[in-house]
Amino acid sequence: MENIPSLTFPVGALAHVAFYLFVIVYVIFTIIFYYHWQNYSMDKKATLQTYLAYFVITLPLIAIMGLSLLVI
Amino acid sequence: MLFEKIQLEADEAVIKTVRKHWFVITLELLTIVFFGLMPIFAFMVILALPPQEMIMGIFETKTPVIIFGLAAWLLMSAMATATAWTHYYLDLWVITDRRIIVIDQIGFFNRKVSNFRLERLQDIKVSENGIIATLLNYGTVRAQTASAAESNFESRFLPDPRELQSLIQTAMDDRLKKLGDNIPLAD
Repeated sequence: MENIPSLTFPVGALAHVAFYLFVIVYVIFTIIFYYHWQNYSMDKKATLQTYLAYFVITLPLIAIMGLSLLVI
Repeated sequence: MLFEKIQLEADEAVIKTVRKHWFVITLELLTIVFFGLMPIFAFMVILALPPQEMIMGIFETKTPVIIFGLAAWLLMSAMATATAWTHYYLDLWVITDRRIIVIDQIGFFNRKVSNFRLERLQDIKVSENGIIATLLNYGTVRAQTASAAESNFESRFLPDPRELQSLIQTAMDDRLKKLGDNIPLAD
C-alpha cells in the first residue's frame, strides 16, 4: 500500500494573514465607531466612558494576538 | 455633538430624551457575552472530561494558536458589543417644547432623523403587548401627524410609554396655547 503523504498545515502563515486582516478590520471599525460617537452622541461623559471601555477591552486582545504570533 | 447637528431653534428647550428600554440592550449584551464566552465554556467541558491523549497533545503543542483564536473570537465579540451599544445609545427620541426628533440608528450606515412639530401632532397611541412588556413597563408609541410631508411614526420598546404619551400631550397643549391662532398650515 502506498504511503499517503502527510499534509502540513501552515498554521503560522495563516495566523499571520489572519492577524493582519483582523488589524485592518479593527482599524476600520474603530474609525467608524469613533466617527459615530463623535458626531451623534449627546453626552461627552458617556462618549468618553464608551471610548475607554472599548479601548481597554480591545487593545489588550490585539496585543495578545500579536504576542501569540511570535511563538506560533 | 448631536445638538450641533440637529440645530435647535432659538430658545427651543429640550424637555426629555428617551432611549429604548434597558431590557433591550441587556438582552442583546447577554446574548453577545454568551457567544463570546462559548469557547471558554467549551474548553472547560473538554478539561472536565477524562484526559485524552490527542486532546491533551493539541493543548500542549498548539497553546499559542488556541490563545490567538480565543483572543480573535473575543475581539469580534467586543466589536459586536460596541455595535449593539452604539445602536442602543444613539437611537433616541428628543422631545423639545416645539417638536419631537426621532433618531433611528438602524446600523452604522443606516441612520434616519425625523422631525415632527408638536402643533401638527393629531394622535398618540401607546401599546404594551405581552407579559414582559407589561411587567417591565415598555411598549410601542405611535403618533399621527396632520401633515402630509411628515409621515406617521412609531417606536418600539420605549420605557414607560404612558408617561411619555402624557408628556407629549402636555407639550403639545402648551405649544398650541402658545401659538394661539398662529398655527402654521400643514403641508
